[in-house]
Amino acid sequence: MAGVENLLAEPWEPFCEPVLEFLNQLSVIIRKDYGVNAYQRKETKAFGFWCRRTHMEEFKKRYQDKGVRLGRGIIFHIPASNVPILFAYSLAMGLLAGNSCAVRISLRAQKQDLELCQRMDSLLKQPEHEKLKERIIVFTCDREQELIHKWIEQCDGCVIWGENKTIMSLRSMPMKPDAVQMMFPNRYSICILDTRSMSVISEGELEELAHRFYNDTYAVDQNACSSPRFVLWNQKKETKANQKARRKWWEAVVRAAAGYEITAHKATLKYEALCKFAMEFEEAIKIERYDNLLYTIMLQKIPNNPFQILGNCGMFFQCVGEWQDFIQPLAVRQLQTVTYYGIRGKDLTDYVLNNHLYGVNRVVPIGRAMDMDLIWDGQDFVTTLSRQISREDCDATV
Amino acid sequence: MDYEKILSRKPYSLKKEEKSKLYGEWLAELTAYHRQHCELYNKFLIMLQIPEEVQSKEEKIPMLPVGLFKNMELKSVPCHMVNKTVTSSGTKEQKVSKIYLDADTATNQQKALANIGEDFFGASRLPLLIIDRLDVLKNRELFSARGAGILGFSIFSSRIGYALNQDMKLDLNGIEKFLNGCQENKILIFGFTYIIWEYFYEVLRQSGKKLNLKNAILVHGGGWKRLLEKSVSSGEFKKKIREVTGIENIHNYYGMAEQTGCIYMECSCGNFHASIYSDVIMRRPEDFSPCKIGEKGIIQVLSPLPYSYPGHSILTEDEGILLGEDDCPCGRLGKYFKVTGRIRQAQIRGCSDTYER
Repeated sequence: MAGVENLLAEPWEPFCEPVLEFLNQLSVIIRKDYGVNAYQRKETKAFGFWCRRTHMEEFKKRYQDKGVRLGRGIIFHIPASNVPILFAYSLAMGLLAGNSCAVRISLRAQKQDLELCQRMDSLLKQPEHEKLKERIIVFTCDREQELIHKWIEQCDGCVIWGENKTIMSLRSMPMKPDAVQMMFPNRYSICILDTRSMSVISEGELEELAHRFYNDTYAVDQNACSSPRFVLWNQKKETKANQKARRKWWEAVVRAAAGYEITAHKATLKYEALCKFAMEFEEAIKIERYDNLLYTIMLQKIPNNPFQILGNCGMFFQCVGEWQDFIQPLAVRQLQTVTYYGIRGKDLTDYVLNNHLYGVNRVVPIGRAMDMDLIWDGQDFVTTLSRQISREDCDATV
Repeated sequence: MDYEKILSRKPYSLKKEEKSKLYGEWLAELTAYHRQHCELYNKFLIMLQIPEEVQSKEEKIPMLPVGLFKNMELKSVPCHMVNKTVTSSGTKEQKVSKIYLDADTATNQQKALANIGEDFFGASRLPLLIIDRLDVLKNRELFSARGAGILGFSIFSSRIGYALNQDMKLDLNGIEKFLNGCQENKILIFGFTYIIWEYFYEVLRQSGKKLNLKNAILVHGGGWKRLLEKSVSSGEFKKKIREVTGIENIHNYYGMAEQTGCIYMECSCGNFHASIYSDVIMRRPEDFSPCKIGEKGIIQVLSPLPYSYPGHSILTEDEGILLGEDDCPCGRLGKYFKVTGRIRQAQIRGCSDTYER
């Protein structure tokens, strides 16, 4: 669908010019392109903005002091099929680390994925990208296909995003003994809001914050691993004022999500999930419904299996109390991102460190849950997908 | 709940105002009853903050998502009272619904079906030709899927014949024999829509043979999903069947295992009809408010018949359009509507799944 069949495996230096130039030109193409269906293409636009040169240069700076590095060779990517444009991020990060990249996208790939592929392919056909063209292939095939086996077997590293089951089955396939793996299995995420801060927030800020929250959640059907399912209210005592502050927040979220389309499918899915939870959950809960756009479920305490409690398309589990008390039971190893407002991010990471928690791989302000970074889910794309060449200089006197 | 009285009425005899009033009362009474007798249902009502004194208004009756019958044991009678468990015809890999019937509920649902059938095919029993394999009622594996529907329809029959043999091959000799002794071939034919199409129509068409069944009545149900894949519309279905059999009288029906008996038969104008034993409300996805006439929505089905399980108000996974009430040209009272099909299961975004085809 893009690129060439026979990849040139030769490792390059991370952040080398041909890659930065290609990504920048792609960025310009995407940003210039005004599509007819703006909603459909929002993720594409975001990617276009992400891969702009200034942003890539910022990334490059981060690694300036990290020694002499060279890519590993060929990196094989399998992105999740229902995250639009994820394949492009995965590919870009593999290229930035100095590798050739083979990307298998799903037969069910989103239309915008295919469109971006076409753009990439025509850009790669320009003579100035002749060399890079030999280093990229994007293809699609059946999940049972031999092709997947072949790539796993041949590659120098793989990047796999998906369900635990998928990852386990791919892990069991033979690979080169020194091939590296970056696995992104099922994760879940939470959001911590400080109730007091919410009660004093200005109206403008509230709307902005709710809008950012929307981008973290509704914009991806609240189904990305970094979309929060739990919203935790940091407060000491329950008061009328606190109740009011929480209500104010959810009403702002409803306003921010007004454009979100609740299809018949989403409505029935969500209503069924709500009813099922209500009937099966052992302890007392309090449900609030804002039509079918937003369901909130107030829990008395954090359940034992927080990871298994699912909320999609605008269904949030809440709890009130001090955030330190929440983190411990929530920070099972599947806990990925904590988005926050009104508390200090550093306090969060310090707490994770001091208490030796298994979970929490990302702590970011509300609105950044979906921002892709070279460090994702606790792993660094550049350092993992490149090798560091250590060197000791000879002592001049010997 | 006075079921005798309900079932003694003619199936299409209630006018809008009266039905709405009665349904408000009946369903409120049933909601209270199931609240007391089904613990899970009670929990559902409490958690969704449905007040004890539920309003006696049909639209206000809380609805249970149909999918919950797949996950939970929902019954309002003690285990020893359950004398039949109906399972839905889920496609493979899907969990099937389990519906627990006591003797009374099963009888009432059967009576409702008989009354509806009588309105369409007359009171006298007819020979029934089933378009399915002859062991469909004996084979336990199949029974869950298709047998229940066939068994339901067998109440209209004076005798039963099967059109397919055990290998699902069309048994033309068997059909000939069955028709011998039927006066003017006035018979009832029943089958599942896709089975009729694939194993009866397609085979007849390919063989070039034609049957003379112009006096027969064909009743079929089970959904259009597989036929839609072949782009066969309802009109096309009728036309093609007519070409190879001469059958003029073809009725589709809409119904489900979660509310058996009170099926929605298609009238000669091509509309599905709610009888007095059940009702439909189309719901808007954004807030579940009732749709207007002509507006597509999620189908909610309501019926006073489910007594041994809390299935009196169910939100289905189908979409439909209410076409009118009490004024279908066919003359039947009650709501009439069309079903547009299963809700499209569009993939939701996110990363919870990958790598599928």
